[in-house]
Amino acid sequence: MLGKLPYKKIPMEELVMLSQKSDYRALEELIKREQKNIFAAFSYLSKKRENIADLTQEALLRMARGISNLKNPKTFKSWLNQIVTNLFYDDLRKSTRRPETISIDNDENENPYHTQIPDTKHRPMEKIMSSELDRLIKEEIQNLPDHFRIAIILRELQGLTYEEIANATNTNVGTVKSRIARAREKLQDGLKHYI
Amino acid sequence: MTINLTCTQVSALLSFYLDDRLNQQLKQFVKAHLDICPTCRAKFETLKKMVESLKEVHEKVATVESQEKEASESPQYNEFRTNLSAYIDNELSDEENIKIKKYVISNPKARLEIENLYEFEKTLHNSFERIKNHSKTDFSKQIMRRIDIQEEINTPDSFAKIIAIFIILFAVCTLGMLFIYWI
Repeated sequence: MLGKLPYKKIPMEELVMLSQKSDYRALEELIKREQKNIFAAFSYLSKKRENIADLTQEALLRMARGISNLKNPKTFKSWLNQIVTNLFYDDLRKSTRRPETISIDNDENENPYHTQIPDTKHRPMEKIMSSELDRLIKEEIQNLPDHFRIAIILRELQGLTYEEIANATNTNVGTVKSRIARAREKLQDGLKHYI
Repeated sequence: MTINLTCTQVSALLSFYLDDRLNQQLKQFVKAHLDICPTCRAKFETLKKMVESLKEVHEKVATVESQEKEASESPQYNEFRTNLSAYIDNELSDEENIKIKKYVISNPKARLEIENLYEFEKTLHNSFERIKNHSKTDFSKQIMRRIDIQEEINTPDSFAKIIAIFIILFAVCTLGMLFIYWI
C-alpha cells in the first residue's frame, strides 16, 4: 500500500524507515523536507553568512550517511538536531582558531537591493517592514551568548523538548530551562522598541 | 539662672527645639519664651503641623513603595518570573502550571507580562517561517550524488567478488582439464 503512495505524501516516520532501508527516493524526499529548516537554523546560529550553505550541506550529508545507524525512527528529529548542534559547536571551535575572513561576494547588508526585482503583487510596504524585522531578530539572536543561541533555536525553530535539548547540548534540563528563559528575556529586551 | 531669649533667637532655635535636639537648659528657655510669646507660639504650631504632615506624606510614599517592591520581590512573583518561559513551553509540572495560572488571574502585572511574551513568540515564529521560506537552494541532488560516489568508493567488495568468481572458475576449469588430461 505504501508503495503506491507518492513520496511527497509519505508520513515522516515512514520516510525515515524507508531511508534506513536504502530507499534513495525516500532519502531524497527526506532531505528536501528538512533542508529549509536546517538552513534556517544555521542562518541564526552561524555569524558568517558564507558558512550557512556549507553547514547545511554537511548536516544533510551526515544525516544521509548516518540514517541507517539510527535505532529508533521516532527520535529522528532529536537525532538530526544533535548533528546540527555538533556542527554548530565544531564551527565555533574552528572560528576561534581561524582568523576573521571577509567574503569577496556581494554583501547582502551593503547592497540589499542589488539583485532584487521589485514586487508589486503583495503589499510591498509590509514586506519591507517584515524583512527589516527579520533582520533585527536575526541580529539579536546572533548576538546571544553561544549556549543561549543554540538552546533557543533548538526550542523555537526546531521545536525540541527541554529534555531533547539537554541531550543534544550535553547538559541538564534545569540549565536548559534557565538558558531559554534568559535568552527570551534578552531577546524581548533587545527588540522591545520594535515588537 | 534664667535667660530671657528674644523672638529672633527663639526663631533660630525653633526647628532644633521641635526635633528635640537642644540641651536641657536651652530647651527650658525656649519653652519659657513660647509660654509667654503668642507670636512665637503660633510660629511653633505652624512649623509643628507642617513637619507632621510632611512625615505623613513621606510615610505614605514609603508604604506604597514597599508594597510595590514587596509585590515584585515576593517569592510568588520571583517564582512566576523563573517559570514563565517554561510555562509557555508546557514544560512545567501540573502543580507548577496551576500555581502560575492562579497567580496570573490575581495579578494584572503578571497577566500583562504573559500576554507580552505570547505576542513576542508569535512575532518570532512568523519571522522564522519567513526565513525558512526564504531559502531556495535544493541540496538533495548534491547530497545524493555525494553519497553515490561514497558508496562506489566504499564498495570495492563487489569488484573483489567478481575477481574471486573468475579465479574459482579458472581453478575449476584448470582442474577439469588436468583431470581429463590424466584420464
